Amino acid sequence: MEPNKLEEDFRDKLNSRTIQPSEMAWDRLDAMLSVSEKKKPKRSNKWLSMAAVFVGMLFVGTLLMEQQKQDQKIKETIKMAPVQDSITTETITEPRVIETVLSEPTKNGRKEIVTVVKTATKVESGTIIEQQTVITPETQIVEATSPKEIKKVATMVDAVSLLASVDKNAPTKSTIKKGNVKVDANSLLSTVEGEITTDYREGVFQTINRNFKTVKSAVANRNTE
Amino acid sequence: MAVENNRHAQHKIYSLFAPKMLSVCRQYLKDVHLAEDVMITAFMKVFTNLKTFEHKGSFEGWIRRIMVNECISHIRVQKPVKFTEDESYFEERFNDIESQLSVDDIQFLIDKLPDGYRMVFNLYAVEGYKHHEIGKMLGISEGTSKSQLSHARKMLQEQINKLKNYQNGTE
Repeated sequence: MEPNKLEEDFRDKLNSRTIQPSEMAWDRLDAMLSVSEKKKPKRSNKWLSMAAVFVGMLFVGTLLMEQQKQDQKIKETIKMAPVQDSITTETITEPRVIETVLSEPTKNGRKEIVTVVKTATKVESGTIIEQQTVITPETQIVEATSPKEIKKVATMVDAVSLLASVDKNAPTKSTIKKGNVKVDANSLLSTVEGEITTDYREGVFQTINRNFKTVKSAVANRNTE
Repeated sequence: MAVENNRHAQHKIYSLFAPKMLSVCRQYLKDVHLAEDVMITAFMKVFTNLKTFEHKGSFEGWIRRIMVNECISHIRVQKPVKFTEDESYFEERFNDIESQLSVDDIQFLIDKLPDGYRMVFNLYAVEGYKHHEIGKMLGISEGTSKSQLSHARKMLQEQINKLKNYQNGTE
């Protein structure tokens, strides 16, 4: 299978042949070379877009970390919730001092009997807060020992004066009320989780969208140039 | 290399080698305009890959290899070439006579060959590649390359005989 004379003749004749390209050929090559030379510095753009993507990834990562931290906080608060409940029950079981005092004279000139419930509540810090709950006849809750006394108590009591007699301990009253509120830990958690997931999703989608647009514009610019 | 991004130097290289390289491309591609397009693409590769030229062989040989590879890849991209996986080949030899054929006649005969035969014949007979090298270039076995060459030779012989008979007025 070695080349013979005829093949050598083919080779000699073909190798000595020249075909002059068209005049436009060099112009086309020149244009192509110019385009490729312009494209070369664009490499920095490529790096820029890659950096943008990287920054985007970092941002998403940070968001995720924040999300995890929030989740942990929520879990901790949920764990704390039952402890609060026990405190409330403790306060309820604590001894109360019930005092029956005569109120200030009303418009009618009559003095009225008011039952004051003093409750000593132990707070976590160890300080004892004394609370006074004034039970007016209007609420019809009166502590009494005998039916005769009840008749006496069931007289008219001015609400305004009673309120005035309630001293600075009013804020602690609200804490008692708060303590009585029952919190369903599961429902609270599911609500909070739902809200956070939505926010998180929106954040991620916005980030991805922004990065995608950046990359898209970078690629489009590169292609047009 | 100083030539890189130096348009004047690039034009000089182009002017020096383009006519020869267009002839090389024409061996593989039947249409001269198409051959010119492929040559321009190949010159682009030459100028953008000048750094890779290792000064081991001749510069012209390096450019020629780029041209040949570009022609082959162009043919294969345009139309998948079917190489019949025929490992058997026969010793088809041309009549050892002094050819009276002109270069245009030779090109005419080569153009008549199917793509696969033409590529193998050009690579072996004109470029001087070995069968194992052709096999690597075209992704075929050495045997298939030999088989393609023998088929090409047979076909060319028939064409030459026809041409001679036509010229002698016997046909």
